[in-house]
Amino acid sequence: MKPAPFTYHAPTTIEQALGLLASEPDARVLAGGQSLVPRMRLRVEKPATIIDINRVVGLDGISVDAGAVTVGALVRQQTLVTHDGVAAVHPLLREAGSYAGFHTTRHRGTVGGSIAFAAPWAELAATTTLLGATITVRSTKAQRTLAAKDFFLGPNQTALAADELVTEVQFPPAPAGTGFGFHEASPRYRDYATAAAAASITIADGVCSSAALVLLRAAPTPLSIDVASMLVGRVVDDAAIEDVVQSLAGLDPPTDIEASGAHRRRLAVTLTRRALADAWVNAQEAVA
Amino acid sequence: MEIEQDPNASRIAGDTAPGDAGLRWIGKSINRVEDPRFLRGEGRYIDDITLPNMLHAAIKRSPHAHARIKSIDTSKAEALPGVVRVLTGQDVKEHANPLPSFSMNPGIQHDMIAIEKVRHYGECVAVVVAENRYIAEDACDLIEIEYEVLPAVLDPLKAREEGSPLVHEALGKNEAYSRTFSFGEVDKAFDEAARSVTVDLYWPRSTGMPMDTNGAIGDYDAGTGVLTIHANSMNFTYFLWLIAGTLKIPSAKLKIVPVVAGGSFGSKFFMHKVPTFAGWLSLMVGKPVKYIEDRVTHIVNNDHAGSDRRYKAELAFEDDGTFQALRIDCVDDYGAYLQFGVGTHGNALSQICGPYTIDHVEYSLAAVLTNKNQQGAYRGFGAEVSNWILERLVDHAAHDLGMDRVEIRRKNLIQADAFPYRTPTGNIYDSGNYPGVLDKVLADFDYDYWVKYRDDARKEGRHVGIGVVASQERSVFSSTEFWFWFDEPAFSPTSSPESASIQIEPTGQIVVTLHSQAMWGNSPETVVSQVIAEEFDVDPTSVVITYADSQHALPGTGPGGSRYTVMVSGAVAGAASQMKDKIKRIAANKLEAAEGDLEFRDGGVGVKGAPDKQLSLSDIAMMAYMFKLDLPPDMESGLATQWTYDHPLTTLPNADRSDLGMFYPFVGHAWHMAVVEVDPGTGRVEFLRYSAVHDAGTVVNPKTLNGQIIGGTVQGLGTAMLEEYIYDDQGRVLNENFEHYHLPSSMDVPTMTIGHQETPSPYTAYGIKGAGEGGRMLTPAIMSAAVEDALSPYGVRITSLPISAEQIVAWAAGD
Repeated sequence: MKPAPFTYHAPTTIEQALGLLASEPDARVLAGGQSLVPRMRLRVEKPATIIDINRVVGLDGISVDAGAVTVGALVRQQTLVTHDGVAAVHPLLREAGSYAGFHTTRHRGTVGGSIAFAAPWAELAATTTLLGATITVRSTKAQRTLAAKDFFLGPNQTALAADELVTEVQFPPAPAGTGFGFHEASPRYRDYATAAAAASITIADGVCSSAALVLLRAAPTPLSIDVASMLVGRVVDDAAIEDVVQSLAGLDPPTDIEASGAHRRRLAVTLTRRALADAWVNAQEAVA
Repeated sequence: MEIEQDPNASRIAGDTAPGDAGLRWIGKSINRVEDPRFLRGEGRYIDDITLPNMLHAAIKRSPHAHARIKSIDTSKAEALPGVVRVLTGQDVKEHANPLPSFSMNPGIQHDMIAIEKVRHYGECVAVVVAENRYIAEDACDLIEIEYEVLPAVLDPLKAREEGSPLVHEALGKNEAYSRTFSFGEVDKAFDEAARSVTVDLYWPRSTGMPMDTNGAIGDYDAGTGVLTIHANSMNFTYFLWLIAGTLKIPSAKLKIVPVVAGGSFGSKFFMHKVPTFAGWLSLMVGKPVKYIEDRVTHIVNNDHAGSDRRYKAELAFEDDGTFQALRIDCVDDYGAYLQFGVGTHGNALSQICGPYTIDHVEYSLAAVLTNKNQQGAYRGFGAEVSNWILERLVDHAAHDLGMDRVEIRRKNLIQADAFPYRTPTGNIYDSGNYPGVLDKVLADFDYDYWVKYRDDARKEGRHVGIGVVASQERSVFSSTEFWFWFDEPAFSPTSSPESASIQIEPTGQIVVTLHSQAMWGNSPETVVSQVIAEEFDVDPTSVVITYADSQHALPGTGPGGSRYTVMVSGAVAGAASQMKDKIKRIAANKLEAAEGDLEFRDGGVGVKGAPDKQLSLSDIAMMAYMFKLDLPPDMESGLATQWTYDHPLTTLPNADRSDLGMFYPFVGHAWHMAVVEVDPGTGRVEFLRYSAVHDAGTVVNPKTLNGQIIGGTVQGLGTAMLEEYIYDDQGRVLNENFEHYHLPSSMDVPTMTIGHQETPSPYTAYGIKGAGEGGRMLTPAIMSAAVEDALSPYGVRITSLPISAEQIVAWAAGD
């Protein structure tokens, strides 16, 4: 299990990295390598060129400003998960992020890498979608910012062009009175998710004022369910949650060797119930 | 029942008789003497070894389960810079013989590289030898092979039918073996019993997953004609001529050097293909060649897939729960080859009735060949499957009667005064106190508390379940299990011996040489050190242990079938007994004392009751090596002994096979009890309590024994809940790496309490029984029982493994 031959570059500036991405036709960016390297060893991927961005300066910052969180692409997942300032404004990043791989892999794996790799089980991808994050990408020609919902196109497929690099992710502030819930099912402890659900609910005047739900592996990409139309103005009790569950009847999750679509649909229902219930309880605490 | 003791047994037991409370070192939880080098990363595994001018090999694996090889074009691969040689089945055909096999079917030929036809996904079709492994794998991608894809034989039931495509044309059929053994009056017992249960059961194909895959380095010396093979297994040292036969060299010119292995679990048991292959490659290119299985190759190409069995099983019993008879009909999917024949069923027959008094047994087997990786050895060697079958039947009987699962088992336990107990198949259970083990586990587990807890939880809508299972743990195989299947076997049984040599150097250093590959991640050196410490009253960490290469090795069989601790202890005790005799004679002569007044103490030998009359081992050894005139007049110089220890207790089967004889007679006993809570929404299973009590006879080292129990339990958990080869409809393995082949992680494993009862064997040195497989004998049954109990509101009966989360969720949803 050795990778096929490749040319290795280790740029130290963003400009160098972008220049290589522009000039090398069959290049992959190496960040934490926790997904890419095993795939190269299995020769599922045989890139001609590897651009190792670990030495690139300026991509590993985290800032928290008035409830908004900006995370550099090279920030290690474990750094994000253990960052108290981040957890104070966006507890979901700690909760869901702690499901990304294991303690050891999170020390190498990066936030930008997880998002750019767009694995169908990526919890961080789900959080960007749920929290309405934007993803900044750069090429030698331009910089653009994409909404997470427009970024993920399919399993391991994104709106990222071949010459573009993810540079940072911005999470907007959560409204006051917001609570989150995250539940995941996997065959083993913290394995790749068979299915997961992330939910947020904001309470104003004792009822739901906004809500969001994102399901992982219910569809080829993180799937946003329009729960606001069902929950806003209501107390999110069992009846309200069951209305959401009813709306999941038409889900057609993918079947693969890990699970059938039918199983994933059942999991989506269970995890939705739990995530919404937790989000409601947490929102009530946030209000109090 | 009277059984004559092997005269060896008493001799080697020496002055520390079984059950002797005076044991000083045997029974102590010392740290493993192996640990320091491995924990420091200084173990020197096979892939850590580099020889000068060494080349590297990689194999081209078949993408098809069943296909005829129409052509192989190696030209592009050969043209790649750094490639030394590309070899195919044609080269094997011209330069090597088939691989050794204990199968009795001449129509089943297994070669190092497939010749003309591939018979399973991942089978080797070509090999590249190159300057490094990267280039070798690059070149594999350049080999162009034209296949004629044949219909894959995947379903063993269809494979038996007339007209099925054939895995081996020369065999003329896919059913390699079938036979029914009957013991007692089975039909009559079923007719007369008040009740019976019949269950169809399925056990899935999985395999042992050592961290260190199989690997070897061949190093051919053209000058001397000696082929040296460094390999991370070398057991069966008395069978090396088989490997030499494949390589077409004299066995005297074959030298296998054992290298420590990071785990086997059976997958290195008589591991012959990888070392033979590396040796052959070196013969072909004239330089050292390293070949190491990568993980994918280990999963799809190692020769040790576990059992893959479909059963119809029946238990006859009375209204009061008394068991009467057992009828088992098994179709076993052996895969493409049959290296051990049907020995894995011989193993099952050693303890087919478990710890219960069942007098009538019928056992039918059909061994079917399919286009899958061949079966070999995996912890339990088939008896773990039969134990699951039996315990499932017992749970079904309890359910049928509405009887408590502990009580139905207790009612049928063989009683402590019944030993040695002859089972209906002819094997014996040497000793035991099964109700004692049960009482111990009940107290530790607090069964009544958990029954109430479960019932209360159920009222709250929680899904809590209890599992209680018992198991035998047969140990120390006699190889009759491989051949009693046949009326006219091709060979008679070997005694499957084990050897040890002891040398005491002039400095007084004790050196023990072992004669088979023993270091598989287990603790053979700790066992030997504790036995030496016991015999000579020395610090166990002071003992030096070496391994003989095959040219110098005495007969040895190595680990497997939970035999090594028993057998090496017998071998070391035998060599120690001789050594102590000689030391006593020297000391008696020097100290002018009677031999009977001498004792081994404080690293030397002295006169009992006279602390100042003492000689160190160095004093003795100096005389033995250099000062002959200090020795008794009729004694030769030197201080080295060796002992080859044969199986202590084995008998032949009778002619009509209504009695299989004694072939697995040192039989431990264990109970596990567990409480789980199942999340019916996700299928997640959490442990609330797990308690195990084992009786493995005299315990040599509780710490290392607990390690074996925990490891086996974890592997059994994998089989029960997670592991399974997944094939597509063309026979391709879909989960050939750890992303999709799910091993339990440390976070999926219960915290266990482990207790021991010690009922020594009357027939082995110190009364030790083997105990390397016990955990895996129990967990599949306990998980089945506990999850089934937890899901009893849904009326679930668990009849196949693994119990997937998807299945649990489906059951809870009413599917």
